[in-house]
Amino acid sequence: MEIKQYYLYPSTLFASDEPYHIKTILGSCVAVCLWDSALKIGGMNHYMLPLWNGKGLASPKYGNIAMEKLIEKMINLGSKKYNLQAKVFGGAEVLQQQTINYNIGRRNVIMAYESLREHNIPIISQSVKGLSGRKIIFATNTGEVLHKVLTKNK
Amino acid sequence: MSEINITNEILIEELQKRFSKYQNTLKELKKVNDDLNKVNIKLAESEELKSHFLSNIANEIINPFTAIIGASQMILEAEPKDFEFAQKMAKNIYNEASYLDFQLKNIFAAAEIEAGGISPMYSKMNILETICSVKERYENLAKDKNIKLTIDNKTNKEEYYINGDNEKISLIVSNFLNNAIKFSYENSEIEIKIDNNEKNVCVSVKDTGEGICEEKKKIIFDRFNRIKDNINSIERGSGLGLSISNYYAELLDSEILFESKKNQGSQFILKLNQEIDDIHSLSIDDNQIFFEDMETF
Repeated sequence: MEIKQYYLYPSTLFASDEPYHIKTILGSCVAVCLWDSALKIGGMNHYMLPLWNGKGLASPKYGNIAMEKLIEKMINLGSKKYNLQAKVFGGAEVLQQQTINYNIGRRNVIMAYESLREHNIPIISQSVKGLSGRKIIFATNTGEVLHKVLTKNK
Repeated sequence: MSEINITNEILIEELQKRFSKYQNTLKELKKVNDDLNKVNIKLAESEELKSHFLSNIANEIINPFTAIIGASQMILEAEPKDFEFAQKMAKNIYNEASYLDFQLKNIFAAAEIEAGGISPMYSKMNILETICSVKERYENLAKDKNIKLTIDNKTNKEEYYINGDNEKISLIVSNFLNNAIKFSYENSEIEIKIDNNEKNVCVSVKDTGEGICEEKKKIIFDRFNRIKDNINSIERGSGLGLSISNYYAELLDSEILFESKKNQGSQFILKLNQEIDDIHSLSIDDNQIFFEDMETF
């Protein structure tokens, strides 16, 4: 069976009760993959900044909103929070962004940790921070994530 | 005697230490309280904005419907000799329905964005045709104020195909144009300009209306914020247009710039990024091409 592919753009999130390979590319952004071990379904967000400051729309561009919305979506699909597991990726210090948003990668990662801790969702694996971008593919039926660190030659 | 003295001094020292520790704790507590108060004020402001927005939106929907029902009733009761009058009523229905369509598009867009389900839908589109369609939809509204809409095509092309998201670009330009008409004076002109260089395609909407004062410039992209905002103001609109446009522009890896001077008018520019080596502006096979070098499951 050919599993459907979905490319996740920054500031968006996606979850489904059908099997998907959700893909995204991360720099200082963070993506959290949530997997329901009982229903074998999953979802992922991809946010750029940790906290919504009240300006503009309350969109999933902001970590606090992205985390709440993703968990909400999983629950709407029938998940029970105690069956959810998380994998966290991203939050690198990408050189161009250093001057504008110091430590944004690290702050994004902290947001993920805090939110998951608040909801009692365990982090079972992660690849965060560092200086390189990442590409990830999340298989929502098995919970596996393929992950590749982007080196300078790519 | 000397022993008692030392004990007293040690006692006093210990008391001073504890006193300063409690003072620090009190200071911290006060700071936390202050922060909490600030958050509470923000929360109250947010709730007020939202309530105001909701009651405002109810009017934005009810008023056009009332006008549409009234006008169609008049057409039903009209006699054949009243054809011209019936046409006028039909024009009212068309205008009110178009306005409603636009408001609902904005409301649903904002809801979708905040729920997180939005993705760019890139396709090959003729930007010139898109702009012309938007302009046509606003001809009637502009005519009501005797405003002239002109398109200035500086691209030297009859058809200009770009890689873009037609629906979102249309909504951004519609919001620009709607605002321009709303804030323009009667008998004025609004110029829509399309320009390009190797990196960008720029679509700008320029009016010679009221303009935006310096202090309001900071909040125009915030949601629910309208320029003349008090409960009694008869200004129409949801206050969502620019915040949605801003989000869409970012989603399309593009930006919105604006210039404005009070009483001299405003110009809003959508700068569409056309540099193809940016990962996110491609949508070939769900960007599979960027994941070919990875193992498979």
